[in-house]
This record gives sequence, C-alpha cells and structure tokens, in this order.
Amino acid sequence: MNNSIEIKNLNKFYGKKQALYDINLSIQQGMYGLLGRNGAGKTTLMKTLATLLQKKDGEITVCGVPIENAGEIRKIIGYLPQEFSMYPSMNVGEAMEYLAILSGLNSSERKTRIDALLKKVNLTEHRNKKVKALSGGMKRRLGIAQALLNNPRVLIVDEPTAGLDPEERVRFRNLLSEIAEDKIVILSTHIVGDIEATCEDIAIINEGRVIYNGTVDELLQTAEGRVFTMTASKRELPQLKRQLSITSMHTQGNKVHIRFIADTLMQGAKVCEPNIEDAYMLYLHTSGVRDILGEIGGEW
Amino acid sequence: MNQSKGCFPTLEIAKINLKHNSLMSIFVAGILCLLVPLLIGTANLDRNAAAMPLEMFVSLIGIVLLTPVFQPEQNEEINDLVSSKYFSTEKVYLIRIVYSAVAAILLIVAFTVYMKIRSCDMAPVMVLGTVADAVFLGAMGMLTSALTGNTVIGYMPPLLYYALNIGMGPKLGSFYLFSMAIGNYKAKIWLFAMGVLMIAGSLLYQKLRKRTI
Amino acid sequence: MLFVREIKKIVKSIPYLIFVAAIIIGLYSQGVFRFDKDPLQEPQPGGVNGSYGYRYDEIPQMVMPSALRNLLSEFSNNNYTTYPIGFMKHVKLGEGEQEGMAEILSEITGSSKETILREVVGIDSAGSDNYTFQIGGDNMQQGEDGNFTIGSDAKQHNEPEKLTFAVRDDLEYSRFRELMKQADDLLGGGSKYAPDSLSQYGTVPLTYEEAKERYKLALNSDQITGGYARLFSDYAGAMVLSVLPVFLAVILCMKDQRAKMEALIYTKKMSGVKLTLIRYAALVIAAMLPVVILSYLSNMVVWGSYSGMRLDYLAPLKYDLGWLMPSVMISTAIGMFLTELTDTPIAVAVQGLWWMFDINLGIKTVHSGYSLFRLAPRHNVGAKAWFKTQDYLDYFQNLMQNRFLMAGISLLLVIFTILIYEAKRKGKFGGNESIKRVFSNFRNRKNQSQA
Repeated sequence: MNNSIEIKNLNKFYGKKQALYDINLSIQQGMYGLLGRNGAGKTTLMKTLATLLQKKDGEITVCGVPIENAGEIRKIIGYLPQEFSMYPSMNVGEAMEYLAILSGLNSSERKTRIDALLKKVNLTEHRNKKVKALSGGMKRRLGIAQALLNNPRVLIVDEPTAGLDPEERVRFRNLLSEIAEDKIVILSTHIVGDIEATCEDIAIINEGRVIYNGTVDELLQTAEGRVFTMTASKRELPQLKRQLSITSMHTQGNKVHIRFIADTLMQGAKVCEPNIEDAYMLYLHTSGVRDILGEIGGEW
Repeated sequence: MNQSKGCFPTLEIAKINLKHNSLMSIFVAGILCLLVPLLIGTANLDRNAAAMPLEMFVSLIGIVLLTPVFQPEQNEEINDLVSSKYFSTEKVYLIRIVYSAVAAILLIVAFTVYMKIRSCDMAPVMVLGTVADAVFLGAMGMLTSALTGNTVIGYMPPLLYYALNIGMGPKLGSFYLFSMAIGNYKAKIWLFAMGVLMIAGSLLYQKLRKRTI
Repeated sequence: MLFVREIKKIVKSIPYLIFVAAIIIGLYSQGVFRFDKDPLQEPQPGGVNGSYGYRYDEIPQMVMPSALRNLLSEFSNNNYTTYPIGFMKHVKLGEGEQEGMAEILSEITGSSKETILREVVGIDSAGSDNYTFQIGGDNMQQGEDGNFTIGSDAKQHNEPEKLTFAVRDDLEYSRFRELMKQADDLLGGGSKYAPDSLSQYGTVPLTYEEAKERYKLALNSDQITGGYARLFSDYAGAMVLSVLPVFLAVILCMKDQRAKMEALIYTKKMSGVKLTLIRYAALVIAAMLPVVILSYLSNMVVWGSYSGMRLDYLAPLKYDLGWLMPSVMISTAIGMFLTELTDTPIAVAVQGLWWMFDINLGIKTVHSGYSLFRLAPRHNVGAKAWFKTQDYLDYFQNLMQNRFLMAGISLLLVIFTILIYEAKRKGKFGGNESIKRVFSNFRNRKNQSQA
C-alpha cells in the first residue's frame, strides 16, 4: 500500500496574489514538520492537503489517491485546524458524535471509537462539558481526537502548540509522536522547539517557497561552522544588530552574550554547535530575508 | 478502514442540527406567529382580508427560518473542521433548508387552520401562497448571507423588500408579496420559482466558493 | 485620524451599499424625485369641479348621527372594525359586552336596552343563512328630520319592519363623547369611536376662502420648499431611516469581534469615551450623508417651478437634521448599545420590531399628530392639499417634544454604551463567554489566506 504524500509543482493563488510557488515534497510515514513564519504559506499548504482549498496547478497524491478526488481523500485524512471551535451549544460528547456522523461512521463504530479516543486524549470525564468552556490544551486534545475519528492514514495538524503552556505543549508533542507510529503526521509550526522534539523530516517554508527539505540532521550539518557566539558590551549591541544575523542573546549586567550566523569567523567570536534555531535562521537569512530577533517568535 | 459508507445519515444529521443550530430560529418563528393575532384581526375575515395576516406577517417567518441556514459554518474555524469530513457541508445545508421549509409550512398550515376556526374564509391555496412569500423572502436572505458570508447582512434585503412592498404596493407586479389580498393568486408561482432559484444559487455559490478560494 | 478611518470603514462596507441602494430605491418608488408633478396651485374661484377639497371637523350635529349609524350597523352584526395598531382588526364581542354596548346605544337613542337587544340583535341572529336584515347600506334611510329609518328587506320578511333610532334630542355632545369612549374601551381601543377619531364623521367641504388661506400658509410658513421637504422626510423616515441604521451599527460593532480585534482595542490606550463617541458620530454622519444629498435632489426638482417666489433653500437641511436625524440617532444608538451589551445582533430584531409596530401605528396618524414615542413621525400630505401646513403647525410642539426625546434617549444610550465598554475593558463585564459565543459565529472568512 502506498503510504506517502507526493506533491509536485504545486502553485496556489489567492486572486492574483501567489501564495505557494512550485512546491515539491515527498512525505513519508512518521512525523513531518513544516516550519515557517506566520504567513509563510504553511496553512495554505495544509488546507490544500485537507481538500479545503483547491490548487491552481501541479499534482498531489495522498496515499496514491489524487487530491481532486476529495471524497476519497477525506476518508483517509484527519485534519485539525489552527483554531478549533465547535457549534456553541455542543458539549464534548455531542461534538464528537456529530463529527463522527459526518465522517461516515455507523452508530456502533461511533460508540466504541469515541469512547476510545476520549480516553486516549484524557477527556473522558469532560465528556459533558461544553466545548467552548474547555481550556486551550483540552481543546487541542479534543481537536486531535476528532481528527482521528475515521482512523486516518494521514493526520494534518496546523500549529497545534500555539498558545499552549510549556507543560501542555510537551504532553501534546508526546501524544502526536505516539500517533505518528503508524501514520503520516504533518505538523506545521513556527515554534522551532516543536520540530526539534518530534520530527525527523522537515521542510522550511518562506514566502510560499520551500527553502529547505530534508532531515533535521542534515539541516544542522549545513549550519556547521557558521554559528558563533561572542560577548559584547550593551552599548555595542545596536551596531551589532545591524551588522550580524543574531539568533539569540541574553544580557548579563552590562554585557550581552550573542549568538549569530556568519560566513566567516570574526574577531572576538567563537564557533559553536548549531541548533535547529540557528540553522532555521541561516536558511531564512540565505534565502534573502533579513531577520531580527523575535520575529520568528520561538522559544528563546 | 473501519468506516462503513452506507446511506447518508440524513435523520441523524437533521436531529443534531435541529437541536444545536436551528432551535432558536424555530422558536422565534413560533413566537412571531403567536404575536400576529395581537397585531391584526384574525377572525371573521373574508377571503381577501384573510390573506393579510398570512401575507403581511406570517410570511416573515421565512426570513427567520431560512436566512440563517448558513450561519453556523460562517465561523471559519467550524467551517474548516466540518468541511474536512467525509460528508460534504452542502448536504448539511440542504438538510437544514428542507427542515426549515417544513417548519415554515407547518406553522403556516397551523395558522391557516387557526384562522379557519375563527370563521375566516380560508382556502388551501392560501397556504401555498404564503409559503411562496416565505420561501422568496427567506431565499433572498439566504443568498445575501451566502454571498457576503454574514447572516446579519443577509437579513437586510428581505426586510427592505418587504418595506418596498408596503410602499409600492401592486406596482411590483408578479413579485408583489401581498397579491392574495387583492385576489391574485397566480403571481405566487413567480415568487416561489424565484425563491427556489435563489436557494439553488446560494447552495451552488457555497460549493464553488469553497473550491476556488 | 480615527474618525476618518471609521467613516471609511462604514462607507466601504457592503451593508452601507445596501443601505444607500435601499434609500434610493425606496424613495424613488414613492416618487420623491418627481415632486414637480405635484405642484402647489393657487385655488381658483370655482375650484376643481366646484370643490376645494374637504376637511374633517368635530361638528356635533354631523358626528352624532353618523357615528350612531355606524355603531348600530356594527352592533347588529356583532362585527366591529378597529385599527388598534393601524391594521384592520375585526372584533366580536361576548354576550355581556354586547349588552354593555346595548346600554350605550340605549342612552344615546333613548330606546330601552331590551328593545335594542331584541330588535337589532335579535332579528340579526334569528335570520337563516340568507337573512338580509341589515342596518346601513340600502336598508337605512335618512329622514327629513335626520333620523335613520331601518327597514328589513321586504322580499325576505313577510312583515316589513320599521325601526327608528335617532340620537336623543337632549343628549349633550360631551356626554356623547363619553359614551363613545366607553364603546371604544369595550372594543379594546383603536375604533372609529375613539375621541380622537370622531372628527372623521364630520366631513366639511372647504370654502374658497379656507382654501386660499391654506395656500397662503404654504407660501408664507413653509415657503413652498418646506412642504416638499416635509413630505420627503415622511417617506424617508418611515421607509428606511428608522430601521436600517441599526444594521450599520450592529455590523460595525460585530466586525471587531469577528476580526478578534476586541482584545486588541481593549488594551489600547484610546479612551472608551472617545472611541464610542467617534464611532457613533461616524455611523450617524455616514447614514445622514446620502439622506442630505437625496433630500436636496428631491427638493431642487421643484425650485424651477416657483421662480420669483420666496423659497427656503435650507428647508431640506432643516428637516434632515430636525426630523430625520433623531430617528437615525436612536436607531444607531440602540444598535451600538445592545451589541455592546450582549455581543449578539439582537438589536436588529428589537429595532425591526419597533419599526414594524411604529409604521403600522403611524398609518393612523399619517396626516400629522405626533405621539411622544413615535419613531418615524408622519405627515403624508402633498401640494394638492397645500401641505396642510396648519395641522403641522398645530402639532409642532408635540413633534419637537418627540424629536428631542428621541435624541435625548439616544445620547443616554451612548453613555450607557461607554459605561459597558469601560467595564469590559477593566474585565468586569462580559467575562462570561457564554453570551458572547452564542452569536459569535459570524467570523470573517476573508482571512482564510492567513497561513
């Protein structure tokens, strides 16, 4: 059985504005991360995979099924939108029930499946709680549960960890990793830490283009020898900010330790081991984007 | 795959939508019908006078019942969620439209029977005429709601058209909403046909919109 | 500048387009752009076919017999027509109430209650399906003495009956009015026997002098344009301006919610007073803009026809601001207030219902007469009746009271809106998501491209 998603020469427009440029990706079983800033095109790509948006041209097949065949695709995918909400008067059980009906499950399947999924995401005792009254983390877990109703072969989750507190975030990542054992799980995020913790294969998307596609290790390798640290005085900082691509910094008294990307070693700086954040910044940087600290808003 | 792709679960979807998405509008429509006898005489009326409560007031339930059928999914988050499921949202819309129309017909029949009991000169064709008005007004709102993605805006055109009918009277010809009160029953065919056309148009737009955005 | 931005936001929105289209179509359908077809004409001796029109006057000698005749007719069929909120309503009285009505008739005519019940109702209800005994219509004849003779149809009854009812000679008119009031109360109000409706029974032809007087008043007091501006306001207020601004207000206020702007706005430093006032002013001005333009387009049509005469070129503006703006203000204020209070579009239903009641109630006072809580004052009188300027002047004070009250309530509601807004900002109000969420389903799908 074909267990991969193949995207070839995908272009996508909103009116005249092009949102995706010539995307080519091959996604295999396991966790796959889409990393990029807000507005980079991640959601557009995911919505296209979830058949919510129609592509302009190019080819997409999900487990061998062409994307044009929306009905068949919807049978094998589960989708969790960036913001999860449900009809205001529904409680957790009712929401699951309705979405299960829409997923085409018969009543006996519904019962066993909903019970099992609510248990899996630890929401069994909140079954009668209104969806809108759930906390952010609980909502996401419900979102995952509903996306798994049809036991999909592909799970698409859009920015699942945004707005969660650190503890919830870790729990959520673990849940996803567990699910990814026998499925394709595509996860989009602008938080580098999510990728670090869960994914082997990633793509970095910037302004509608894939600027990196490969494994996390390879990504780190490309940054080898190009990440440096140095200590400077606070007064020098504004000038350094203009000169260098700083990926992180922290102050200590009137000193500031900075971490930055450069092609060659400069005076007073030391080479250091790159992390994904550095590598990500390097790619954004080399793809012609000047970044300043904070714009990608990750876990610093 | 553990899914059984049997027949479309119409009844189950209808039941849940009735409870969670349409109870309020059906309730409001019922209240509106109860208010009518306070506004206008509903007893001892001849044929033309008896058409007035039906055409001028009861037909407004069409706006209340049909205009908001797209409203729940106008929350984009909910729309994304249900649209990714196997059964298409258009089918859910269709179910809502059908049961809202049935609710409108039942209320209109009930009101006609009520007037009959109160010695008004009623005829079954008046039910059809009132349904035509209700469908036309509701469909006008539905179409606007679909095109603008906002149900509140959707309420505007049908209310305005209603006001225009009060202001212009029979000059509106075949699209005059209160034609039964002047003894013209044929015009309702146009209203009804136009209403059905607008409903079909708004459904089609919902389908196309999703595929091209 | 925030004001300009808010105005732009409103003017560029779809509901505003619908609003403008509605005003234009609505007013066009009422012929306000063809006022030149209804010119103000000086009455000529001889009038139109010898008539100068009519006026209603509460002349006891005319009112009493006509009202009695009408009441007897309705009493005999136990089918009374009333207009409680403008629409026709047929009232059927219970047995006890019919007796009460018989008592009233008895006091007016001097016949005993029993006679009336027996002779009038009795015959009526005893008849078979094809009974034809009627009071009124062809069967009622007015005698030389002004009394009414009621005869049954000879074809159906072997013995033609003659019943004569007339107003007692010694009945004071003030007592008659009281009795009519009682009758009206029995019918639940809104009947033709209500004290303010009795003048309808007294139709008096206008004399040449009276017509001339009216014409002069239209020239001097209204300066012609005033009359046309008033007619414009009558249509504009009743048809659109009392109800549509609520949509603009609700949609603008809910837009913030849809775009999740609320949290952002609440934390901004901008004071709630300033924001609410600016938004309110923007809504009112945006709604008034097309009205002012259209009122002049409508008024200018007639200017050419009266060259050399004294015209009030500011009349449309005066009526726009004095007559129409308070309606726009209250409708907008209700929209903002209820949306801020409930976070739902409930204001649309509230204002819609009020408007519906008001225009139907207004049908009764379509020729001036402005009650204190009237949303859309009516004065639907064209140039053919010389604008009935005197009626307008007679009720001018009521109109002013009503308009000031509406404007006052509007400002009060705006103040309440500010208070709610400030409370929300401090987190004291609206913390409960439940009300907010019921109708918060209106989300902007235009943001779909956000990735």
